[in-house]
Amino acid sequence: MDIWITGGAWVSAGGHGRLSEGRKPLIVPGPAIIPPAKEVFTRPHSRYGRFDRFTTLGCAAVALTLKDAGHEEGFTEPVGMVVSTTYDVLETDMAYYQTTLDQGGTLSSPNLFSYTLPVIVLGECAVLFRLTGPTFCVGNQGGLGSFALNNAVSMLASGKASKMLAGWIDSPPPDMSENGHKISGSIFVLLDPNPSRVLPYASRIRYEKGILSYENNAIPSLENLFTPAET
Amino acid sequence: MNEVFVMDAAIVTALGGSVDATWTALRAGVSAVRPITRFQTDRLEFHDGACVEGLAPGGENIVCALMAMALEQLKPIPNDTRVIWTGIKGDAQHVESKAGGGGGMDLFLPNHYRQWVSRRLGLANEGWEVNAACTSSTVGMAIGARMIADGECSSVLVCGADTVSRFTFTGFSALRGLSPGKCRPFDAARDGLCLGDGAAAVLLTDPQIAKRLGSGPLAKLTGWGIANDANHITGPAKNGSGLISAINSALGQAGISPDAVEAFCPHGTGTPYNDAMELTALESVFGSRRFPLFSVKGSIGHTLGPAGAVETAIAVRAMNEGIAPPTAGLINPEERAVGRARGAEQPFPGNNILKSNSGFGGCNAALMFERA
Repeated sequence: MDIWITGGAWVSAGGHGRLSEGRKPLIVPGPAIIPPAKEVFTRPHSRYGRFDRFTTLGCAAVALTLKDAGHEEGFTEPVGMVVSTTYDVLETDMAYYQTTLDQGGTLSSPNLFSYTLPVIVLGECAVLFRLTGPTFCVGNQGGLGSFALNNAVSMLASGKASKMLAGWIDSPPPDMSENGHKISGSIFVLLDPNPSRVLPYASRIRYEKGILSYENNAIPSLENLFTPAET
Repeated sequence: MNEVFVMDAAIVTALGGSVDATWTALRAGVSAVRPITRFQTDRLEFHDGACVEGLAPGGENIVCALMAMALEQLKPIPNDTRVIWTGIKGDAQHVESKAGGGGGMDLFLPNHYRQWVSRRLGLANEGWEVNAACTSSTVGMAIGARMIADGECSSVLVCGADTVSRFTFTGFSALRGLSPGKCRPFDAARDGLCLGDGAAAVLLTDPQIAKRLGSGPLAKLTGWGIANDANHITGPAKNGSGLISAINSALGQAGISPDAVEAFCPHGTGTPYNDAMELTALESVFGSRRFPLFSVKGSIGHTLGPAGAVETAIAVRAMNEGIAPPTAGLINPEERAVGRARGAEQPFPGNNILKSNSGFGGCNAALMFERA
């Protein structure tokens, strides 16, 4: 089965970018720089500034990905989304629980509590772009987002969606680090087995017998999909 | 495509430390919902939950403690079984202790839990984790079924545990999603959900492993569906669109017409919106046909991530016994639940049962089980 990567985008401490720009994501340690709403959305989005950081990172990369793929208005067919994450929404969990500490929990923030699951970014993107296919989060084994990519492709192969978004999001609390680095950011791609048109920067991956490959190589990370295939 | 069998199921709920104990208490209409003593609720408007007796935060990780009780019940499983962890708030104890100035509780993220399960069972790989809110273990079983059907692996253990924590209790309290008393799924006067402790481990295998294990399958998992409402981050779509899609996808894959479905174990939280959405979806898929549906949440509370796996263990037992257990707390069913949900047992032929869960983020998932 051949699947086209018709759009992609990333947000990190190194800035943000899109597949169509033809350069690999600049994933560097440090807090991700959130792009302003006017660069992300084609029309004003009143809630973007009120999301928690995890959801903001995800929504920004998804919106830029769909802009890249020419689907910024969303979908009418079943399109799903799979997200890989290591830290879940631990940063939001910490922030929410602080609101429960005074007056026996009577001042707990319902708004912050709503964002204490990583699936909330799926819900926000589903509402924004009319994603009605399979949506779930998985761990981040291997390279950034590779596990989400595998699961998203399997949904396409099972016939449960016509297109899938696959991505990685992490926003660890500032006081945490892994291997001495604090990597926060997001990367997304849109997977389409039957694109109506193939843009010049689109990549093509192959799924055979449960194995994914790109130009006959394994795909260790979503970052690897940001180099256009040589034709 | 390989057939997928449910070969073992172990659960721990506030009703009992096994499927047998929980099933017996469910049939008797017992509710484990009572005033919470695990943490203080005196300043809040809500006070009840379904907690496993003796399970209290101390120096140990109580999610691991609860999960261990379920794992101990499992029969031996193949060494190459893949673990899918589906607990969703296993970091709560760490977050609570850190915010309280305590430093005693190590951080356990989902990847730590699945590694812990794999090592405890002596498995060759460390598995992976799924988070789809309250549909997590339902989605986990769907993914496990796909992996087995496609021949990617021969057995998958879908497991998870979540506990009634101050973190989740204050949150649902702030959202005003809790019932002031015992929750009453599908009742006309339902007024919110109750949280409950729960752990579950469900072993799915291909036919070869099923034959090798030799214990006789509990059920066949014949279809699954996952879909999003695309409506709201915490509330269900009134028209039930996501659940309808998930159910239709599961039925289509199973090759079962809606007319052939004999019983249904939906999410049934007892919140006005969830149960209304489920009845709307049910009428959309099944029309006016009446067949048994039941919710276990009036008895064991809402167990969050493992809810789907806990309820699958019960649903499969219900199918094999041909008995839909009483929906505890249900006294006066709302109009569309009349002739479907009851506060008493309902017999059914026991050839198949549909299971679904819905959750935050617009997530919906459905599984179709048939007698093996």
